[in-house]
Amino acid sequence: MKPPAEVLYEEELNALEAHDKANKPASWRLSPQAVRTFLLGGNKPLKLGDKSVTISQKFFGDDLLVEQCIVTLAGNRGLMLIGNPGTAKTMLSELLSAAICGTSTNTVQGTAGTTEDGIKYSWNYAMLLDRGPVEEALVPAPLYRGMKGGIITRFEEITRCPQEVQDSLISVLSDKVLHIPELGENGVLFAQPGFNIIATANTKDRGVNDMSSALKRRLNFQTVKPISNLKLEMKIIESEASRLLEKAQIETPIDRDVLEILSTTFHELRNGVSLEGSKIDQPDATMSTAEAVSVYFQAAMNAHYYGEESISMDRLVQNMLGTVFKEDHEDLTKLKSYFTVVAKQRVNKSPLWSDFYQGKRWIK
Amino acid sequence: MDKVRVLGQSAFDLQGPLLFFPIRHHSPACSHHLEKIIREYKPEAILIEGPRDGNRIIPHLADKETQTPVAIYCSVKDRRGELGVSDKTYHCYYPFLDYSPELHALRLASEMKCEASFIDLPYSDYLPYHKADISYNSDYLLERSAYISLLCKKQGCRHFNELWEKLFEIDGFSMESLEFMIALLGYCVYARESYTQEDLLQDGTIAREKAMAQAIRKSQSKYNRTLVVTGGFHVKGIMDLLTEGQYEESTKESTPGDNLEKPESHSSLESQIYSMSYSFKSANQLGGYASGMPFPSFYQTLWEERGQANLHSRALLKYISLCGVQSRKKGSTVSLADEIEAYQVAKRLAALRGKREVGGYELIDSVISAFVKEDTTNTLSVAEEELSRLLVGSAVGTMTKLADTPPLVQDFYRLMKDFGLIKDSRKREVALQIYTRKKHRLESQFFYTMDFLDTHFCQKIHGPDFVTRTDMARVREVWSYQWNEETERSLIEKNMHGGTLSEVAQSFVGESLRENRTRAGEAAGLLIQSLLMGLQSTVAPLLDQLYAICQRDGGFSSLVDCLSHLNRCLDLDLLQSDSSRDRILDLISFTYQRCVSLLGYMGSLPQEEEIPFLDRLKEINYTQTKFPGCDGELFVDQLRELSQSTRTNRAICGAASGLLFGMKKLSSQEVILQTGSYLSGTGDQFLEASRFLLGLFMTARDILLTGDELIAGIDLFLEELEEDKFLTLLPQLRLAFSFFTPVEVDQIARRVVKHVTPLPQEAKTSPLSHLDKTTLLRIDEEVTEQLQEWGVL
Repeated sequence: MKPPAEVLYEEELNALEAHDKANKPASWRLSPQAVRTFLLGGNKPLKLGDKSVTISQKFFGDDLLVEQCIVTLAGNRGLMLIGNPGTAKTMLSELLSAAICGTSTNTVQGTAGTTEDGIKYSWNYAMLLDRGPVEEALVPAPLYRGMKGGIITRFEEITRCPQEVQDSLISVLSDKVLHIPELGENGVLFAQPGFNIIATANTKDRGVNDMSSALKRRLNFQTVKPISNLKLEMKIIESEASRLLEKAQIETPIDRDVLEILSTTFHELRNGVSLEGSKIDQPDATMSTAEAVSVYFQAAMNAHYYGEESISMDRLVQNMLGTVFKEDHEDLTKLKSYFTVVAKQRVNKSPLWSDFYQGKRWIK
Repeated sequence: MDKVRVLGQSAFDLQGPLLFFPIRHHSPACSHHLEKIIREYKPEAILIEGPRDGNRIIPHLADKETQTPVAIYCSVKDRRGELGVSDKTYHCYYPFLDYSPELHALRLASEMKCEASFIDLPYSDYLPYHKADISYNSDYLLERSAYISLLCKKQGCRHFNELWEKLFEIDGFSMESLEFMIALLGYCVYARESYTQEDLLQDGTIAREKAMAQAIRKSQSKYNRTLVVTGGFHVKGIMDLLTEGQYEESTKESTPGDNLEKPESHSSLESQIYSMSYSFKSANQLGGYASGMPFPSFYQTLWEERGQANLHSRALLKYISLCGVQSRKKGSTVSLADEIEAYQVAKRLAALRGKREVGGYELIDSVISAFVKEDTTNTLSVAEEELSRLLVGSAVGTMTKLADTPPLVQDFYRLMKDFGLIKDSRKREVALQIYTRKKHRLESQFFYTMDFLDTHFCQKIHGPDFVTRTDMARVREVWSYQWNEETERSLIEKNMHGGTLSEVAQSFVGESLRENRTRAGEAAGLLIQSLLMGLQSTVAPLLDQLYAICQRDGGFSSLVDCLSHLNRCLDLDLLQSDSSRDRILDLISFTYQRCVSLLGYMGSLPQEEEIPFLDRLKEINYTQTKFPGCDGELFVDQLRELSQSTRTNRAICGAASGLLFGMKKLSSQEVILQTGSYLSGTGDQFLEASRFLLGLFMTARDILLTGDELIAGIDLFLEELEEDKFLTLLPQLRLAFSFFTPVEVDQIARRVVKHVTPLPQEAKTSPLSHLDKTTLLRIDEEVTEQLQEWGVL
């Protein structure tokens, strides 16, 4: 299981906190500068007791986006992260939350079944019957906890929730006040400094439940774009795949040649243009970096458990099919066309590209 | 940094005979400190990095009437292809904005009555190093420096321009001048370390620095205090050359009007240099030959309001508000609360990024954060587009009247003024009543000329096209126009062809004719264009050349096109002199003769070429009926030949018969017989009937409209036709009738009805009788019942 960011990077957060001398917004654990360093990495190792802690880079590809997110959260508006699936919106939200308030687990997981109770608060009905509507009988939900504790409330996949549920955030974001009518005169919860909301939404799912313009006005939107730099994408896939394999206790080194073919294919299909400049039909399926990591990991698992020495191109193509073919048969045709036009041109480039091209036979 | 301080002490000696001031082109902060230094140092001479053959332009640039943006425009024509391509013209702009240190220095020199001159190589000497359009003040050497890349990373800046803004434009205004100069010198000296001497030799940097060092030494021998204003990158290079004495003594000193020596190997390059209007839009373009800084309008605001408290915050507020207003006008829902949020986000971003104040980049990022409420993975939002437009600005400059603007450019501006056309970078439209208003006719001639000269100034949106003869029913012309640098550049380049637009157009018409020796159609098209441009004086020599071309041209299509253009010249009354009219009549007669003589060879044209040919045949017929000087008998002979030959394309055959019918050389009975011969024919001949009719109807549509004989004849044959044969023929017949207008089809249909079921006159118009109605209702009921039985209804 993956521990939350504040546990995974506890040392780094402690080291940054110990060395942080810049001004902090009220109730923030770290200053905006230190939050940025936590996400983008530091130049020098920091001393923490007798240890030297290096701040690793955790978010790649768009430093400006990170800065814009931090300053939004330091202000009065909530942050809305939108973008294609697999662009690390959740990871960014988690890291920001961990760095700003020390916890990333105060989260609402938005679904079609999410109710207002699940966001604000509900009741312990046994106690409610016994003692009536008193504060002790109230069961806080993430929004309540965020406001009371002055911490970030993360709202994942907000557009999957019905619009009336989304709109319950409007007055909270405007006035920073939550009314609990059941508690009578005492039923007003004022948000403590440090409270804010980070919401995420997939661009492809936006049509499920559109967001009201009133709520939009209370959030600053930031688009998390796919990584545009191929080398950087390869680096990320390598590091993430290594982490997953290590966790799965599979001791196999990353095959960089295989990784290059995988990254290049994903990069080109996503952008709709080959490195040589040819136009390519883009599949509707999500060709994200996260999906590429998953394909590599699956292919490596296959190779490991079925006694193969290395990841064969056949395995790679077979696993790639699972990503490309979700529901639309057209996508398979587009992948086939990629092999026929782009991969074929590279057959003489290396034996591996030639093997990759041969993998075309698996696309049925 | 000690090395830089030592260098700085030597470069920035306010008491010494020579003072260097390093700059970045178009930097308000540099201009701010430069002014302070000039006022303190009180130089006798200011030497500026700029093309030294442009010295004669300096008084005009510094003139109070000159409004920025303006530019020095250099062009080099390589006739012999010494740089690679023959007859290629290379060009570059040297733009000046209000806050460009070079222009500010020129203005201050003029104010303080001290000598100012450019000391860099002329463009023709710099060009051979690159052999491509390259700018003097492009910052590519700084941008590509490994040191600057490293510094960008360290300072958390996305690129060179943001780094520059952070270090110099934001911090610069609050720094002491000496401190600013040392910082800038250090920045440039370390950036220079990324290049080898070989790199700088190859790209011409060393040659330029040698030329500048030599000019500085000359100035020092004449003046006691010389201020040198060059790009910061060059300061160390020039100082080293001066210390080591390694500069070219052989190069002649520049004085206004001097024709400088060019490197021997490129002595045939022809160069021009002029001042011209420029725009913020072009000043914003980075790279290529149009060098500049980003956000010219934003920096102009900072420059104009320098010295005021909270300078950057005021500019931020101004642009956020403007962007909000403009975005709302474009339908965006940006609110006042969003504007407040953007302001706060920008401030917090500046603090996070360690910037003393907000700059253009914080402005952009804050607008994206607070105004944009959508996914921008693949598109720009309205707010981003509006902000980008606002940051660039739309200002266009004007040179003083004293400037040695090329006569052609002057003529262009004079005409623009005469016609009330507006000089800015917006696209506008004008509608011209070309047949009723003389001024509009002249304005139309102006637009035709600008279009002909390929100046990127205007485009005809609507109106009659006299060359292709389309849209001739229109009585208005609608033109769109937009001033841009390309127009002025293009005119400067054409300046050598004449002093007015008319002269240049005339020269280009002549040149086109000289290149065209055998294409009469194109040459006559040029005649029409000349007349549309109002070049009446070119008509006589043009007709002489056209006559010679017609003699050489053996192409039927080209000759008929020529004939057609000549006819239009007369029809449209574009000519003003009788002698030209007579000359054209002669030419028409001659060309007609040639066309008719070639007709005999045209009978076997393939089907895909027949329609254009039939149009041309009609044009010849039109000519011979209109001009008595044209020999009609010869035409009739040729038509008979085409009409009777069995090898002739059937559509051409029909067209020839139609023309003969129209000339009363063929009776309707003969035409009917001819048609019948196809309709009663066998196999392919039967199918050719429709193509015969197609040609016939194209040239003699009145044969169906005025008489009933042909209808009766066709009907006779169709009656006897078996159904499957009729169905085979039907599509072709439809095509043949498609040349009639709907009104004509209606007329023909009435005739056919009359022929097939002659009704009593009253029955045609009287309403249905009671009996008819009863019968029809009964039929309708029966049909409905039957359809219901079949399950159709």
